[in-house]
This record gives sequence, structure tokens and C-alpha cells, in this order.
Amino acid sequence: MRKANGIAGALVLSIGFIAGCGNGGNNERPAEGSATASGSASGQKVELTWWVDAREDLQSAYASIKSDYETAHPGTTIKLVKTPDDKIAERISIAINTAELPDVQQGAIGWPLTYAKKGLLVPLEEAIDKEDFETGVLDSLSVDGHLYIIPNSITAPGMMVNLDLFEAKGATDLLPKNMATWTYDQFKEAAKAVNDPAAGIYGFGTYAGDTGGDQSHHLFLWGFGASTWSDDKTKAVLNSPEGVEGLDYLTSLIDEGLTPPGVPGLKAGAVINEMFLQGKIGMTFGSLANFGAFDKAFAEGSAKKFNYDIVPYPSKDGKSSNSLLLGYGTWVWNTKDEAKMSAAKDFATFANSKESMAKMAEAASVIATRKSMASSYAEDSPQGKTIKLSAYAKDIGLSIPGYAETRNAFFPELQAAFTKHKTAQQALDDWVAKANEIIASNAK
Amino acid sequence: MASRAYREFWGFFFILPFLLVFAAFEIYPFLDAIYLSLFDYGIGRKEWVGFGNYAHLLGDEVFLKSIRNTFLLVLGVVPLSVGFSLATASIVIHKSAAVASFFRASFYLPIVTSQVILSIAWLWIYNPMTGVANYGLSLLGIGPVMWLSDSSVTLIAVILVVITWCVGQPFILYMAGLGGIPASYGEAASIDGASPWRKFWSITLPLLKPTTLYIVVTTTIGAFQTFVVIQLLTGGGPNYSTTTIMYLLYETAFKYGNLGLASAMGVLLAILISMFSLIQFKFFRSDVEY
Repeated sequence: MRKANGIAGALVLSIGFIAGCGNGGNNERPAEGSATASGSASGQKVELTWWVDAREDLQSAYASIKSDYETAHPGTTIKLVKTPDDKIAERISIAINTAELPDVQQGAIGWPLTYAKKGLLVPLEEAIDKEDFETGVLDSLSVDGHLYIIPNSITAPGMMVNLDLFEAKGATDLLPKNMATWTYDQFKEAAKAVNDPAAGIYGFGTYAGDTGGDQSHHLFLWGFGASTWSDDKTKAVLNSPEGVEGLDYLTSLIDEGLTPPGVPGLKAGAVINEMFLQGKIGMTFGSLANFGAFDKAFAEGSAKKFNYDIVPYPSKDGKSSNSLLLGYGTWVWNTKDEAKMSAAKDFATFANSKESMAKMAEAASVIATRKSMASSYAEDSPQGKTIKLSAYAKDIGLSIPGYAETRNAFFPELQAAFTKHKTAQQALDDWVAKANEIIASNAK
Repeated sequence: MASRAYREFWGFFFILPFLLVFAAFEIYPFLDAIYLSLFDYGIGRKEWVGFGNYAHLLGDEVFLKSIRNTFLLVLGVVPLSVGFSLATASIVIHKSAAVASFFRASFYLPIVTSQVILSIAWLWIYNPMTGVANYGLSLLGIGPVMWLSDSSVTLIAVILVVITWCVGQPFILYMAGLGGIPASYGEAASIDGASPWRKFWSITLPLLKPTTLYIVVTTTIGAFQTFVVIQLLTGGGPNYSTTTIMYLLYETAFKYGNLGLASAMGVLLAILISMFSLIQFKFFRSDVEY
């Protein structure tokens, strides 16, 4: 009896006991989902849930778009839910598994296409006037010939530079002028010029703590001639000799002390939004989207103002550069409620009309993606430079089946290479093997 | 006989609300997890794979690493937490009521503080350039330690954090347990010439066995389920050196959407915890009465 009680006690404790230490659980509330439709779209009342990203400078535009749509469509109510970008993939995964998906979502374009293959997104090619968008941009947001994300703010990242640090060292001549391209040797020379570990200043800010900003590593390797994916986007091929050379070079920058200590555990947010912002980093990956946050911090006094700039990523021969398309857009979830999906498509069209996009473009971090709205940005303005960077943009692989999963498998391999647990070749071989497994599994 | 049945009826009646909640939120999900673990179950798919998920896990290098890390974490956290809280309680029990209250409050504070806030504070403490931990070491002439980036120390760094919020409850329980031991036992041993160490070893420790059993079992379960600190401090890295079963389970379920595989991990974790708990019951169980 005692033994039986012991077994029962152990089992009960193991599956049910909320212990005094350790877990604490994930206290995040489940994602708030769409409300029940109170009727069909045909003249009856419909409530749509619209998840929007958390960029502060866009919130008033989102509120205004919601208000305009509700005024124009008295039978429709838009429930606006500000949803932090952090852990968005997990939020969506939970929402899918609990049937709590929103109807429409506005957010970063980097991850939703994974769900297109699973039939969870609604095709939107008929919801927009395609001729007013760059074909290349629309193609990168399409899967199997169907457009699933309407882009409304696209940016192209490059290498952000703290000009004051270079000026203090009399090294501004080492930086490329007028968005000219440059070599890795020139880049390293520039990084060395401002590198001053004793003062806590490092030439190049890189990181591998999680998936955040991992595009920077791909850009770095692309500069050596590597490609992340095969031309037909069916498999990973980053373990080419060029990729290995690039990763070896990146590791050498860490070994030479040109990066902050602890790169394998550093996260992009800490490097870009803290160290770079506090004037501790000479150069790091970034884009127009970061500038708004910097200017806000300078205005609020939470960081000492300095002059910054953006230049192209270097390349081995210095004749070209690499970038990719980052940004935000709108998509519609397949909630299996035809009436709501139809209304949601209509709202997505409205939210990306010229008028609505003009409201979003009032934010400094947004470059509207409609060709007809292309403003005459000054060449040396951040927006003008971003447009130049976009000419170097390659497809990071957003439509690859299981793309988000392949990202999760990437940074541990970088960590292994940076900590010398694996050679660059082993790390990239292992990632390519895992990525191809993920693609095969998600393509089923 | 009827009287006994009557008593048992009312006994079950009064614990029925708990049993219903327990069945709905613990037993049913556990049984459902066993069922789901037999499927390749994810977004848009549910295919029977039998024990395929278990076979996959046992051949998966990352999962095996997570088992190793989880065991190391448990082996680091449990003895240190239990030993430290017992030693501290044994000292504090002899102090004045005010001092004892101060220690009780101090030790319990981390338990009532959000683990997220504590983890973020530790993130600053472990910062390689500006963190207090490396500043303290620098005063001793020790070079900077990459607490969260060097795979040879990261698990130790995590264990230290978990211990800070693991000692509060054992400390309180040991204080209560020590307070319940009649003073006459110690006095009688003193008259017989027993040293303080002998009294602690032969009287105090055996009488604390039920308390120790409870503490060891619950601390072990808690350590097995460590999650928040991993997610916020290391993300399981570097190079999977701090990936625990619980963290991998979360990633598999909510990042990758592979619920069948995650359920299999949960079942294996429950089996591991049950085995550990059974061993602990066997070693620490006693019928102490005093």
C-alpha cells in the first residue's frame, strides 16, 4: 500500500505539482483572437480583428485607417489589437492551434509566408493593383504564383556607421563615400581604426544570441559569393566554399577582438539598440527602421546624440554589395469563415490604398511601396540611401517552406563556429543538412 | 461499515472540486499528450506514427543534449538549494525572532518576484562588459567571464540564477521543521555528551526527513521544469549548452508547431520526473512522529 501510494504520489507530483522553484511557466496570455462574426458581409454586421505591429510612429495611422474604414462601412467594426513583434511566431502558432487567429494582420513580412503552403493565408493578388508595385517585391511575397502579403513599407538594410567615432579617430576617409561599394579589407581597416576595447568601443557589432538580425550574417557570407538557397529555392546551399570562406572571415573578426566580447550570447537588440545607440559600436547591421528609434532616443535624452550614416555591406571584390528586403505588409488569415474572409480582403485592400499608405508614409521609418507614391527623396537622405541599397537586394528566402524553422537552426551553428566547437565547414554543413530536412518536412 | 462508507463519501465530496479541476487540467491533458505523442501532429497535419516520435527523439542529438543539460541542472540546483537552505535555517533558527523574520522575508522575496524581472536583472549582472559579476571578478584580478556566451560556464551561470529563487521555500519549510523538533531531544543528547554535530546528524537530520523529502521532490520537479531563465538569458545556447527538455519542448511546440513531437518530449519528461521522484520517495521516506 505504501509503495502504491509512493508511485501515485510520484506520478501526481510529476504531472501536476506546481513546484516552488524552477518553472514559473510562461505567463504570457494567449493571443487575443478574432471575435465571432455577428453576421455576414452582405449588409450585416461584421467584426474583424486586425492585429498591427507595435511601431509607435505608425499607431496613429492604423487608428485613422480603422476609423476611415468603419465610417465608409457602417456594418463593419474593426477591432484593433496592437501586437508586439517579439515572439510573434509563437503567438501565431498558439493562435492557430487554439483557433484564435485574427482576420487581418499588419506586421513584419519575414515569417508569415511559411503558413501559405499550409493553406492558412488568403491569396491577395486580386486585392491590389499590381502594376503600382515593383514586380520583384511582389514576387518575393508570393508562393506558387499567389501573392499573400501586400507590402506597404519596405526597407533595405546596410551597414550603419557611427560617424562621430570615425571622426574622433580621424578615420572618416576609410568609409565609402556616396554609397560607393567597398571590400572586406577596407571594411576591416575601418573597423580596426575605431576599435578601442579599453574604452569599451568595438569596430564591428555582430551577434548570434538568437534569430534576431541573422540576415546580417547571410549578407556577410553573400559578400564572398555564397548563396543561402539554390536558385530554385528548394534547398540550402550555404556550405559552399564561398560560404565557408565568409564564415571563417567573420569568425576572424571576433578572434581579432574587433567585435564586442561574448558574440555567441549577444542579441541583435542589445548590439543595435543599446551598444550602437550608446556610441560603443563603430559599424553594425541596420536599416531605416532603426533610425527612427535612434532619433527618438536622442530627442528623449536617453542616448547622447551622434551622427550616423548607412553604407553598403562590403564584398570580397568591392565591386558590388548585398542587401535584402525587410519591411511590413498586410495579410489575411484563412479563418474558414467565408464572410469574414471576404470582408477582411476588402479591408486589406482599403488599408493599402494610396490614401491609407500615404498615412503610413508620414512616419519617418516608412518608404511607401507604391510606385506612384515614390517621393523625390534627396540622394543623401536616409530614404534615398535605402532606395540605393534596395538595388542590391536578394531574396532571403521568405517563401521557403519552414523558413522560420531554418532560422532557428541557424544561430546555434553560428555559435558553434564562433566558439570553435565546429569549423566553419562543419557548422554550415550541419545547418544545410538541418535546413534541408526542415524544407522537406514543411513541403509535404 | 455503513458509517465508514458515509465518512468516505463526504471525504470524497469535499475534495471533489479539486479532483475535478485536477482531472480537467492535469490528468486529461496528460492523457491527451500521450495520445498526441503517437501522431505527427502539427499545423494542417495529423498522421499516425506510433512510437515514431519517441524513436526520433532518442536519435536526436539536440534532444539528447537537452536531457544531459537537464540532469546537470537538476544535479546542480537540488543539492545546493537543499544544502544551503538547511544550513542557513539551522543557523537562523537559533537567532532572535526579528532576525529570523528578516531572513524569512529575504529568502522568500525572489519567490514573489516575477521570474521575468529577475531574469532581466541577471541579464544585466552577467553582461560581459558592464555587468556586476565581471566587475566583482575584476576586483579580484580575475579576467572577464563570458557568462552567457562561453558554453563551458553558461550552464553554471543558469544554475546560480535558479538557486536564488529555489532556496526561499526550502528555507521557510526547514525553519518550520526545525521549530517542530522538541528541544528535550537535544537536551537529553547534550546530557549524554553529544557534540553539536552529532546532535545535528543523529537527531535533527533524521527528524527532518519528511520535510527533506518534500523539499527534494518539489525542488527536483521545479528544476526539471526550468524554462523562464533559459528563455530569457540564453535561449538554450550557446551551441545548445543550456537547452533543457522543457525549453526544447516549448520551442518544438510553439516555434516549430510540431505538437506531436513536443507531446512525446512531455511524456518522456514526465517519466523522468516520476522515476526521480520514486527514487527520492524510496530514500527519504520515513514514518517520523514527534
